[in-house]
Amino acid sequence: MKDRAPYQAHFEMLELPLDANFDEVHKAWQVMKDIYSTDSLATMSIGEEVSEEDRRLLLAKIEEAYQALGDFFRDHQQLLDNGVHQLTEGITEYDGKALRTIRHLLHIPLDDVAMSTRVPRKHLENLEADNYAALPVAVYTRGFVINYAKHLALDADLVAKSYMEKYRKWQEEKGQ
Amino acid sequence: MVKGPERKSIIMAVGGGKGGVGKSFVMASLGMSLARQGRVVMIDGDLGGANLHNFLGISRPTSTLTDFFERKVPLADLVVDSGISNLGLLTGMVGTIGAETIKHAQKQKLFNQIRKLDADYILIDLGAGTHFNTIDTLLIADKMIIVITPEIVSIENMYNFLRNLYFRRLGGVLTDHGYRDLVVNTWHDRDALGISNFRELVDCLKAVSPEVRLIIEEELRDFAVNLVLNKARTNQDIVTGNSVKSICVKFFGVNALYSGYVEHDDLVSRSANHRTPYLSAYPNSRCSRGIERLTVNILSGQQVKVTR
Repeated sequence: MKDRAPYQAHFEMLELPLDANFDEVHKAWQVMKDIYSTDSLATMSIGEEVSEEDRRLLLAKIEEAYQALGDFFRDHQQLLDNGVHQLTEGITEYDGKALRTIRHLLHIPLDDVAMSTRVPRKHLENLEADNYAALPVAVYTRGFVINYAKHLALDADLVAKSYMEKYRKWQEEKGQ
Repeated sequence: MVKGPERKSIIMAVGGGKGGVGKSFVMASLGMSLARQGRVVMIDGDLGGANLHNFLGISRPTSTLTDFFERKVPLADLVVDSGISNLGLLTGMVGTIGAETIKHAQKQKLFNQIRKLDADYILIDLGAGTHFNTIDTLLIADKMIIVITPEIVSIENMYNFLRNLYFRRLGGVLTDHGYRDLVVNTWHDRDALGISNFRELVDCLKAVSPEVRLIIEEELRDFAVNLVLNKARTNQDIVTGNSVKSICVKFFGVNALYSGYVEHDDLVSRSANHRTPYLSAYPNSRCSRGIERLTVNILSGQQVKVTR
């Protein structure tokens, strides 16, 4: 969150916490615009407290915050993409260990992955530990891998294909 | 009924704004909801027009706050059983005494005894209007609750009440630090100082000296109100709560939390007429579920997310 500190005022302008994602920023921007650009119950009853000028200034600030945060998220994504590109060069097999290594290098906590992918943390841990026995049936596991890979900005299809190959191999061995 | 020193109660109070927005209903339901997790004492502090008992489904208790003021009965002895498990009620009395007639010493004694009541949650239901006794009582609460409905009259009243609440607190804090009458005097000279609204007054006060600025910023950092939107009928109504919250934050600089909304239900007044507490009669209605979410949000500080 350290790199977000300079953007605190912008997050505050959109009434968001510092860890909000771009979707939330976009939504908040639309809501704020709605509140302050049209007359509503809430704005009409405020009376002398807000002049037209105040409103215009505020809308400009809201716009500025949205632009700045938009840039921030775009740059952030680019950095992530570049970083991932360097990291994944030469990796041909994506097992749990490789995924965990990449995640560590990107400084992404597992809780963040769990929160934004909505995959329970327990499953993510098993995923990274290649603990196939504790993972659910293939369709679910594949879904988890895809979501996990997307969160790390990896090529989700490639990762899933590689991971599931190992999973299937284990299943076949177990079956014998 | 007097508690040991280890028990810390959370005081919640609702007050101000317009009459009939549902303060008593929201408070009574919040009290019933909280009574499932701890001991609750509800105080009907609407001295002129106590009606909390109606929403709890009981008739007016015979011992009331009047006994505290006129016969000096200890507050704890006046708490009566509400018929709902874990929930005690202390009621006001219609007609004999109004919030306006209470003297300063009586008020301080009342506040002290309220804080000593044996309960996990103490809920105070105050009357409408902006009398300073109402405001002072609200200011002792850990959670100040303001109920609005999606109507212009109610929202306008709320902004007005919020200004009064903030001023009173500001005046109190500055008086405590030796700046007696600073707020009142500054407001009195508003024309000369070019102050036309709330924000400008606060800005002007902060400019008095670095010390005053520090006092205002430090002491009012935790000043927060919990907004509840009652009688919501449409999604648009629910979003009004988000807008009002945003305006409180941006134009008043007051930390407002949109703690919850409660959907309109005709059965609310019907169940009061039938002396049935709404929450136990219709526990699964959308309105009751709104109350449950509100309870969680007020305790945790969470807010209603924007849905559009």
